[in-house]
Amino acid sequence: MTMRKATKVLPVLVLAGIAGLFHTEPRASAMPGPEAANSSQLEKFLTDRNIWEEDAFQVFASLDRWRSEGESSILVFTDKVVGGSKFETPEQAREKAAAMARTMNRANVKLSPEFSLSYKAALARKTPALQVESARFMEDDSYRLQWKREGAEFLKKQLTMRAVVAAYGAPEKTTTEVVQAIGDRRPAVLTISEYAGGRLKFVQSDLSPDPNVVDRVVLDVPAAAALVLASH
Amino acid sequence: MKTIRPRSHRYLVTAVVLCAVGLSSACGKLFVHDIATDALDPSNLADTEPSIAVNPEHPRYVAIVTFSENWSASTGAPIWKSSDSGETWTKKFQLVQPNPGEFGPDDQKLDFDADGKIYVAELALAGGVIKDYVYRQTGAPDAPLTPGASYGNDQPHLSVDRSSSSPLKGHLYSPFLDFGQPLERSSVAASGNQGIAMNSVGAGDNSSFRNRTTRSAIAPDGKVYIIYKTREGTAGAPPGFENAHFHVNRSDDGGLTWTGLGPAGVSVHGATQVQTYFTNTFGNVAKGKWARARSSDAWIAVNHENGDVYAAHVQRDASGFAQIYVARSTDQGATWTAARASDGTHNSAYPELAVTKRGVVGVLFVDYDDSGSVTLFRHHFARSFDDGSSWDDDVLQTMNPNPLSNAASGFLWGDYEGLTAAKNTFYGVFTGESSGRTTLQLDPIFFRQKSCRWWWVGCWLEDED
Repeated sequence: MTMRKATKVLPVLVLAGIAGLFHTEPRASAMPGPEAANSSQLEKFLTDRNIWEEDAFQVFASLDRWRSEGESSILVFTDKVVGGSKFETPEQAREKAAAMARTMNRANVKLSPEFSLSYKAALARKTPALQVESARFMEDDSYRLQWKREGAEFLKKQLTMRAVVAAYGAPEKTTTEVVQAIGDRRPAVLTISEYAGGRLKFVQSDLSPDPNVVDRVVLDVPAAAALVLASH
Repeated sequence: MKTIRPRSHRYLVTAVVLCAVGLSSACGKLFVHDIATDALDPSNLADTEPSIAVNPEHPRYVAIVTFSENWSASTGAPIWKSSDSGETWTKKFQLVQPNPGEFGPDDQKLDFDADGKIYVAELALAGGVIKDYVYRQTGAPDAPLTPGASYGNDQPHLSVDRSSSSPLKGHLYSPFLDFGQPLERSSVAASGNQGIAMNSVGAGDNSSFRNRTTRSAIAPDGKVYIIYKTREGTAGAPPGFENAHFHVNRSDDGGLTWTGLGPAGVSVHGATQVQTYFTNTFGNVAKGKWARARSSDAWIAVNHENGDVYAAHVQRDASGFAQIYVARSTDQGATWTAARASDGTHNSAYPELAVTKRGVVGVLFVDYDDSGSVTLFRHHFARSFDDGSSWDDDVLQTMNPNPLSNAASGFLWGDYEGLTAAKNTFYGVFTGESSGRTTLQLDPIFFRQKSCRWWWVGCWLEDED
């Protein structure tokens, strides 16, 4: 190629490159960013009736209570919901439970449209209110807030990680945690599978009668509340 | 003729010596065997904190409990069993859920009585409460066992009196740590009816310090010994260690009182405090996985022929390392003479003790070598043929837990492992690296070793079963 030809071709290439940039930019913005993808996955999880029993939706619709008491995470078991904050003494936990109990009387926060529709039937059920209490959390000998009600069901019994993986693919991250108690009884060895950027964690415990079954789900309260509650 | 006789004697002596050496080297060989297989352990469970018992009537029957499958409402937790001295193993799911909603097994320990019936102490979690049970055999040997009365608290152990010379033959004792006290206390639940009813009594001195690590042993005269430590603070102790005394006390009345050696018992290492482990990070955290060692520093055993008592404890000594010391008492625990069983070159802990019929003393323990790029944990089995004065040590296994899929930092093999003796043979179990498994993992590793001096021909020839 001669120098003359090159000087003609170069501006064309530059223009073509700029045009390409303008062309590709809209395509890139169509791809969800990591945050959007995580929110989208969390939304899917929070409405999945293969994971939750109906009482769980009552909890999700009341996440503002946990949030206002400063709980950054909740542990959803089959028969109870436990706060992530650990208290050293039963008195501290009782005090916190009393504070939260007062919030239970206030009106429910409006839900965002998607969740309002999805949870409609669950929230329309006539069930007694969930009880706020403080309880010893045997796993680490801490005291915690918990929501419970006789006969209430939150996480599906017999939900296996195999089923979760089949529905959502492999977890983004899997870790193992040994939970030490004050005494020297056998510690729980937890296998933690993270999804939605760590906003939702499926936990298996080797102390469960069947360690393949999901023992609890740890939910990021601020992230879930931001999705579920309209007023946020 | 005079010249021939000495020569023939010499040949005879040589032949006897060669036979004895041959016999001892064959019979005294250390047998180490992974008892799990892919078929027996399809979920690749970690099988931590193992303990072992041997049927005294028929020592080829060996039983082991580890943290394998948990019990459920419909299925019991397993006892690993062998009927051929540990060559082959099966799982018998005999440990039923004691009551609905109670989870376990958590801590556990097992023993046999004089008739070869099995007993297992189990810790169950019931809501926010810890309940211990002693399971007993009420049917066929492999049928579900029957739990007795609930009792106790943390880390129940178990010893059954099976001495024909004991006035309390058949009594059982389950030491545990009582967290229900302002300062947790070493306590012992005793039963004269196979665990159907249990009577719990405070046994350790917690007037000034918290207790921990409670272990028991029964003498042939029916007197019962416990060892426990008092946790006396961390002043001057390096990280991971604390100051302590290891005390032995004795019950002379079937576990009703624990003052046979005074209200606090006798310190096996004298009046001076020692430094022992209290850590969740036994090992080198910069070089791989680690274990916890908080109640992994004492054990006790009795010579059933002469009543000598042996106590093992962990003590950081002048070597700069935590070491295994074994003390012997020939006067029912009143006075003690200690010697070091480990070699002073690596941090060591997790001692378990046993004594054979001929008085050979064995100690199973763990040390670690972090001189290379990764921490290597080594299970040792040391034996003393001279009442604990000197020790011969074998490394049973060297393990790098980092690639083991089910090895979780903070609880690699548990707080304690298993060692016992029947007649002249030691039987042990530890949680170590698997062999012959599709997935490399932690498994229960059984070992046994007949232990006689090479010239103890009677010992070598003695039928084990």
